[in-house]
This record gives sequence, C-alpha cells and structure tokens, in this order.
Amino acid sequence: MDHVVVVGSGASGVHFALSLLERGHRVTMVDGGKRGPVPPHPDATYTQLKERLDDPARYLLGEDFGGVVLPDSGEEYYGVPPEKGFIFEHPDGFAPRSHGFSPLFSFAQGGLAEAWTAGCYPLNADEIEDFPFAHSALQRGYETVARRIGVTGEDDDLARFMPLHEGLMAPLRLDAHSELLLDRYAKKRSWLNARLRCYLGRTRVATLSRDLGDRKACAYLGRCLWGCPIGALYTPSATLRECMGHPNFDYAGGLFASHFALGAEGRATELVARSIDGTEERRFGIDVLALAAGTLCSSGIVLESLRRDGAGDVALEGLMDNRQVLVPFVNQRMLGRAFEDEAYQYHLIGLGIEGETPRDYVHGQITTLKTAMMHPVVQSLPFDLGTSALIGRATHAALGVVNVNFNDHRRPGNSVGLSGEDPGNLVVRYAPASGEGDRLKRTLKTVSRALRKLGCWVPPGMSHVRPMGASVHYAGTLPMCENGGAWTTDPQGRSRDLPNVFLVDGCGFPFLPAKNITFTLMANAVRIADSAF
Amino acid sequence: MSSQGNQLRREAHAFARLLAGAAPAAAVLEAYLAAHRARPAAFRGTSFQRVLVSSASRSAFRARVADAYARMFDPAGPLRCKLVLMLAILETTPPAHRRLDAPIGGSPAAALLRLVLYGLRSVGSLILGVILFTPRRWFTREAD
Repeated sequence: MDHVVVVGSGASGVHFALSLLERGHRVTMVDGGKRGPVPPHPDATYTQLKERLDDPARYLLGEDFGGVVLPDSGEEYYGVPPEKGFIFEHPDGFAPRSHGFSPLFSFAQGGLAEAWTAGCYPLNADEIEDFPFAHSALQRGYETVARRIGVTGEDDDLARFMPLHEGLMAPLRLDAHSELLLDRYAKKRSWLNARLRCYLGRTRVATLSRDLGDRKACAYLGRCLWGCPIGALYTPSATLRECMGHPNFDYAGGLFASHFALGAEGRATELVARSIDGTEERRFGIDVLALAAGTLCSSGIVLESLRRDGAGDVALEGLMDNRQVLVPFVNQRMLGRAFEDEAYQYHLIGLGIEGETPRDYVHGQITTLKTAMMHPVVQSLPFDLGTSALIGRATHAALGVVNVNFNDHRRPGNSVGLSGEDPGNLVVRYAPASGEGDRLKRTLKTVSRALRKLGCWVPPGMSHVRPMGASVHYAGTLPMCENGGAWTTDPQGRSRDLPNVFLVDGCGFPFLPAKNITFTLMANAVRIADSAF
Repeated sequence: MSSQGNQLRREAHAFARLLAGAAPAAAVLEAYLAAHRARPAAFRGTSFQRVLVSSASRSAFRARVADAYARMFDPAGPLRCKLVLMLAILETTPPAHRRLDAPIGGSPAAALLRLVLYGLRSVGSLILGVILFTPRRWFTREAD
C-alpha cells in the first residue's frame, strides 16, 4: 500500500484520490479548503428566491454590492455571483503577476471547477495524438468518471466530434428556445453541414437527469450560476465528500502548499505548507507526491522547490489556454415571449465546426438566456437605460450567446516562472499564436452565418473576445511524452526530474483541444491512478 | 435627514419610475442608499457630471433625456452608474422584479415594431439631451 500526498482538491485531485482509495492506498490531501455558504431555500426557483429571501438584493448583488456590473468595469455579461466569491479568494501574500494573461486561482474545496458550467467533452483519437497513450486508456477513465459524477448526453450530430462512452444518462429537458434552435437545425441541416461544416446537437453536461447517490436530479430551478442547491450540477467538492468518508483518507485543509524539500536523486522528501492566514507552517513526509493544484499552482510548487534547492531561474514553457469568444444573438421567433423561470440555466445545446484537420475543431456552447441578471446585458445597448430595459424585456427570451472555444498549442515563451524581485510569487507570460486574429475572424464569420441560418440575428460589434486566462483551461507546462527530456513527465504522469513526484492535472497535457478539458482532467487522473499505482 | 440623503432619495424615485414605472419600495430605497455608502467612488463626478445627475433626479422624463445624452457622451459617468445600480436593485427586489421580468408580449412582429418605436423615442431623447446639455457642458468646462 502506497501513501500518497495529494495537493489540491480540484477536478483532478479528487478523482485521482478516489481511485487510489478504491485501490487500497492511503491518501493525505493538502488543500486550501475554503468553503462557500449553504444555498438558501433549496426548493425555490430563481424567481421564487427573490420573493422568499429577506434581503434578495444583498444575496444576489453581495453585501457590498460588488455583484453590480457597472459600466466600463471590464466585467463580462456573466460575472461570478457574490455567493461564489470564496472560490477565487487568495491567501495573504499570494500575488502572481502576469503578462498577456489573466490567470484565475482557487483555494476552495473543489477548486476552480466549483464555478464551471459542467461541460463534459471527451477527446477523440485525433485530439490525443500527442498524448503518449492509446485512446482506449482514456476511454476507461471517461467511463469511470461518468459513472461517478453522472453525465447526460445523446448520440447525435455532435457525437462525430465527441466519442460516446458508457454511463451516459438521458439528456436534460430542453428549454423552448433551445428546442426551437434544434428544430430549425433539423430543417437546415444539410446546408449547414455541407456549406459551413457546422453541426448542432446536445451538449454533454455533468448535471443529473436522475438521482445519483445523495445528489438529486435537476429540478430546473434556474439557479446554476448561483450554485445548484440540490447538487444536481456536479462539482468536485461532491467527490471530496466521498473521499472524506473513506478510512484511508486524511484531509489537511486551510493550507497553501508552498514547496517540497528535495533529497537524493531529486526525490521529494517533505511537503511544506503554510496556513492560509500565514500564521503556521506544516510539513508532510513524502513517499509519493501527486501535484493536482491546477497547472499554474502545481508549476509554482515545482519552481519554488527548485529555487530553494538552488536551481536558479527556471521557467516552465508551453502554457496553453483556450481562447474564447462570446457571440450574442437574438432569435427573432422568440421575441415577445416570456423567459422560462423553471429551466436549466446553462447550455443545453452545442455547435461544432470542422476544421482543416480534426485537431482544428472549434466548439461552441450555446446558452439561451433564461434566468439571468439583465443589467450587465442591457447597459451595452446604445440607448438610454429606460429604453434599454424595455428592449431587454421584449428580447429576454430571445437572447442567447455562443461561447466559441479555440484550441491551443504549446509554444516557447508562454511560460510560468517565478518573480526575481518577489521570490515565491508566480509570473505568467502568454502571447497568442501569430495569425490568431485571422483565425478568429474566419471562424466568427462562420458562426454568424450559421446563426443567421438558424433564424437568429447577430448584433454587429457585440462579440466579445475574452482575455486569455478567462477560460481557466490551463495546461501544458510539464507535458507527458514517451521519450522526453527535462521538465516532462512519462505517460503515467511521473516527473522525469523528480522520480517520486506525479503531475496529475493539466500540467501534463501536450495539446489543448477546443473543448472544456475538465472531464478529460478527471479521466486522465483516474488513468494515472489506475496505471501507476 | 442630510441634503445628500434627500438628493439620493430624489434620484431613486426618478430612476425607479424610469426603469420600472413605479416609485421605489422601501427595500429598494434602502439598498440604493447602502450601495452609495459601500461604493462611493463609483458615483463621484465632475461638476458637469453632477449637473447631469441633478437634472436626471427631477423626473423620469428628465432622467431619460439626461441618460440618453450620458449613454453617448459620458457612458461610464456617475449618472450611468447610478442608473445601472438602480436597475440591478430593481431586478432583484420584489415587487419591481415582477415588472422587469414580465415580457412585453405579442407576436414577434408586434414586438419588433415596439422595439423600433422605443428606439425612435430614445433618439428623440438624445436630440433633446444634446440641445440641453452641450452648452452646459461647455459652460461648466469654462467655469472649471
């Protein structure tokens, strides 16, 4: 039986830990451990919540009204609600710097995926061509994870881009707007497939359409963004709770893992962590260390360990992230209708565009607007706010947004390093690939044409290119490969430089397809646990 | 009651009438005042920006005219910020949220026609705003 110290309770960490526990190993998890409040009135829809709460404005906008998106604040159409602010809180003194990148970090139980939108998109054989293992190995991981978390989906036109796997639940109930778009697609399918190489179908989401364990099936409360009050929408903290019930699992929360001490032959001997409030230090003896703190923090732990060991300036190259562009649209057939209060709030359908090669696939998540704050949206209209609010009421149910994702490759210069002036703090550098502008323009033209064919109007000038870092799909700094050099890992995620250190999060990805990678992070962590232990 | 408190109450009444067609409920008024205490920096402005806010606080009609001007010529100024704040509070607080959540019904064609009419009214407000506020902006700039 191995004793493995796992750093981080995000999507990778909890599934890696659970697989180890199931195989009879002992796990100590070191984690930031911040937790959010319990959602109030778990049976209330979003609209009912406004009626039942004593002070709905404070709940939905925050104690200090920080949830109000003011003009030119740089915030997006969908901000993180105050209720989820704990996910992004940093320990004192944690002050990463960045150039060309807006990194997000989490020290919460469940990590950044506590704020995800539950998209589960398995990679296909072309997309894992650079990964040093067969697709079947990952497929088993997908199936294990799907059984654990519950993934809904369907065998439709998007299955050509996303392999089917065991354990898929029936899809969630469609809202009227999504249904209208799919009906229209059925009529225009041949044209869209042939002319634009564009396909529509149901998205795969980790939101239950039937009960699973103590998690309830989606009750269509329209509260996904504020945190599903019945646990239908999966977050990694659910798996953490499962691990906590295991006798071989020790959880050390409230800690920020800083570095590990190195012994003979580069073996990690001791993990050093300090409390989030900075008042105490704790040390954990290491047989095996698994870093699952997320690409940036795991890279930071490695770098800080090397710096303390006298390695000088090292930067880990090859950082990747998905560029995302938000394309809003208005469906003319939905004008004047009421928005659905009792509906699943996040995306139910998706759009896939074939690229020149299978790896150039572009994925779009189509979110039709149901329950949502309208003030961030209507303020961007070119009218007085009274008029804009009226327009918002007339168009609310007709609005939607496509979140278009682009793939990324490892490139030198895109790196995670340590600040020379401020030891211990990360410096993230990123520059987009040359020609990115043309690629975005070309693809967005195709997306707009597809939307028009589906009966929608795409307001000119309102597409929003999200900053790099916003997608939170970070990867690539310590890539897996069959025969690599320094600062790579073997196919089991074991560092070639640090023989008892495993990288089980996005660090190890050698390529980043245009899909939310969270499902693959979980499946890969399961694969590593099953193959290396 | 302080003069600043009175001014904020006047604003709240005019803005709530513009955005939701009714006077603000006590909870809305309380939240509007609390937000000004919590985020004061967002609502400070130059003397001309204060003129815009002051004019807008007199009635819903004046608020529309001043905001149509502000949307074009001072899009991140205090008037705009105050109106967006009020909209955020109204859309989260009963009973105003019921009105803001209700659709402006009818067939898609009727809805489209309404949108055009709303747009035209806003353009009219903008023209009036330019006539009223452009000279005052010049004058205030000179005075500053």
